[in-house]
Parts: sequence; C-alpha cells; structure tokens
Amino acid sequence: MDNKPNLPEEIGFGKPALWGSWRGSLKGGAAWMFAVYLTDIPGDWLIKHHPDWPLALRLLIALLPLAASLLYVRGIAQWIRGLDELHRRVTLEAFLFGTTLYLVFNAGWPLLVRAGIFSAFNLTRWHLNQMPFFNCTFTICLTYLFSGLGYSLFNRRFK
Amino acid sequence: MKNKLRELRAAKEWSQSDLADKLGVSRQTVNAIETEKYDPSLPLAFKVARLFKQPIEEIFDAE
Repeated sequence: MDNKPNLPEEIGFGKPALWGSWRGSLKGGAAWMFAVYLTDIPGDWLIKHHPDWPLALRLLIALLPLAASLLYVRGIAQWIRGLDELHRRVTLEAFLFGTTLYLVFNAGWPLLVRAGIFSAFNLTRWHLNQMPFFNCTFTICLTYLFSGLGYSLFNRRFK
Repeated sequence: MKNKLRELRAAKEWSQSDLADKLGVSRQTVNAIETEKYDPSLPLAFKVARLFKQPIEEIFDAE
C-alpha cells in the first residue's frame, strides 16, 4: 500500500516554479481547472455574440465553468485529505488566507476605481479599472496565487 | 512540547525519511516534531509510541 502523503510542492506550492509535476497537479484537480479555462472565456464570448440563442442553451454555457469550478474545488478537497497533518494545517491556513485576500482585493479594487486612483496615475489604458472579478478563470488564478503566497508564509514556521 | 523523537530515531539508526515513511507523514513533519516547532496530533503521537514500543508520556513531555 502506498503510505506516502500528498505534498503541497506537487501542485507548485512553496516552489519557485509556478507548477509542480503534472501528475501531482492532476491529483490536485488541475484537469478541472483547465476545464474551467476552456469553458469560461469561450463561453463568455459565445453568450455576448449570440444573444439570439435559446435561454436554456445560454444558461448551460454560463453554468459550465461554474460546474467545472465546483469539481475543481472537490479535487482540491480530496487532495487536501491526502496530505499529512502538518501540511493539511498549513495548506488550509494558506487557502483561507488566499480566499480572504481575494475577497479583500475584490471588495477593495472597485473602491480604488471609484476613488480615481488609476485615472490619477494614468493607468486606465492598462485596463486596471476593469478587473474581471466575476470571471471564474480570474477568480481561480488569483485565489491560487494568493494561496501559494500564504503557503510560503505559513510554511516558514515549520522549516 | 519536548520530545525524545530524535534520540529514539538515532538509536534505531533511521533517517528522518525512514521514520516519515513508517509513520505515513512527510519528512518535514518529522523534522518539525523533532525541533519542537510542531506538536503532533494524538493519533500520530500514538503511532510514534507504538512504533517505538514506549508509552506516549515517555516520548512526549508536556512540561
């Protein structure tokens, strides 16, 4: 029987490289993450350019990335269950940190836009005032990035 | 929490990786317990005690 626990480094946490091994990433539900990427942006484009399509079809296209996101979260949850107790603790702290930071970012960014920060510094041509917070791909990428940052911070205590 | 894990492991001439494999945890976890940066859960402490055939309180001391 394989007695080896999962390791956060497998999915790129705590490593300078953005991604860990492909096998490890797949264990962490990465296949569903790519399914989100593949259905989210093309789906958004289809909905925008085909307003005449039946509502049921448009609804299906809109919900596909959300369903894939839920399956991705399920994959991550299963992978977390396979971690040993120390890494489970650090990883859960990291995901909590990442999710909270994303929510703060999500809530704070429109305030910065309304305060005119980007216009004042002439940054509007970089579209910083139009962050796609309700986009599944953007949400997953940013939460993952913040969680990775959290993991690097919290894991230092036990090095 | 103080513990005698390092001495017990050294007595058996096991590396941290060997012990980690026997306990089903990562090497980092063994190292964190030995350096007293992390206190193991009760099930893991029982596993350690069973592995070294000693009572838990002989290995871990809550001070």
